[in-house]
Amino acid sequence: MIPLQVFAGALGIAMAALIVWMIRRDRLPVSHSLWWLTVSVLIALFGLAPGLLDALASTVGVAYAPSLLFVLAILTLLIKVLLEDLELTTNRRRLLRLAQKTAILEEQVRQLRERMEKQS
Amino acid sequence: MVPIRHAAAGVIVVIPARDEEADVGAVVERVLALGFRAVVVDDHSSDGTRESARRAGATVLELPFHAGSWAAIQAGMRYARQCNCTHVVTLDADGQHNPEDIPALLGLMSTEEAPNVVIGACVERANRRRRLAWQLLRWLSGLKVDDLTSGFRAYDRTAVELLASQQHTLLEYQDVGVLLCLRHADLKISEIDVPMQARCHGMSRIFSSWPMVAYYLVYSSLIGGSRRRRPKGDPT
Repeated sequence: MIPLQVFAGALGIAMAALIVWMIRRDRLPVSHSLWWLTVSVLIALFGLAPGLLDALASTVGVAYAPSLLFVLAILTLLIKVLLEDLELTTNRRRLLRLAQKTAILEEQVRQLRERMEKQS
Repeated sequence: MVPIRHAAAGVIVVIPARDEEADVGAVVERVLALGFRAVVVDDHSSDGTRESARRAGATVLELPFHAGSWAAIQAGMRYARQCNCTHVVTLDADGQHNPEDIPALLGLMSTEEAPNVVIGACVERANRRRRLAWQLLRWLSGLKVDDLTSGFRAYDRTAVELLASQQHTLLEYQDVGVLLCLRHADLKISEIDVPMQARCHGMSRIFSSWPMVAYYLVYSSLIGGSRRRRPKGDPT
């Protein structure tokens, strides 16, 4: 059996490597990667040093340390989803503005073309 | 009501249309006959709405995808703003509103203490679902408007400037959200009773079924509740 530390540490390092690789291939913008790099560092950290989690749990008064891990993980994901939603909304607004703009410009081009054809 | 024909050049009638090939042409012709400019905003129809509207003499803005009726109306407002209009009137493409009533709406705006927005209201058209929804909405939003969901409205330049802004692009249903925005900006809203065509009464997309009413109510009460505030004097 592999020790848990090795497994969790490898998971964190693998994730960090994947993110760096994606940035290098221009798949992920740097702004997004900061979030995911932090997450992978945390995974590796808690995996390599489980004592850290135990200490944290007793500080905040959680009796069963792994449940704290789950709470933190779910919270992290929730925050991420919320941020994504905000960004989606911004993008939707921009998309609609652009659509309206193209509709207006298209019509104006049509009008100009008609006027030019009349003149010539 | 005093028809104000002399100002007709500054009035742009915005008609959002989606798959209204059969009716949009006639509506446009009636608008043009009154001396107003007609802008049909085609919300990515799959039928011949654009051609039909163009043949009738309207300016047609074509949205590149289905963006919803508020996005369509806003596109029309943005276009109207570029054309230096004084007023924008919105009406439905299905012929449910009589273009002949436009002068009555505008007439109210040329009076002393002119309102920024005039709603062409038709309260009799309401069925049970709609009445219940209206009542709840009035109570939730604190708006003192009889016909909350009428699409037949006249806006002055101030209201158009406000509503055409980027901030108000994501309103989903044009109706209550818009009224709340207007109230938030302390603009004056008036109503005038107009008849509406009988054949369209039961066809509202918003109030087509009870689940739709429920969704609309939840949505509206969310934006209504979150933007509710104590009115300064009489908001309407």
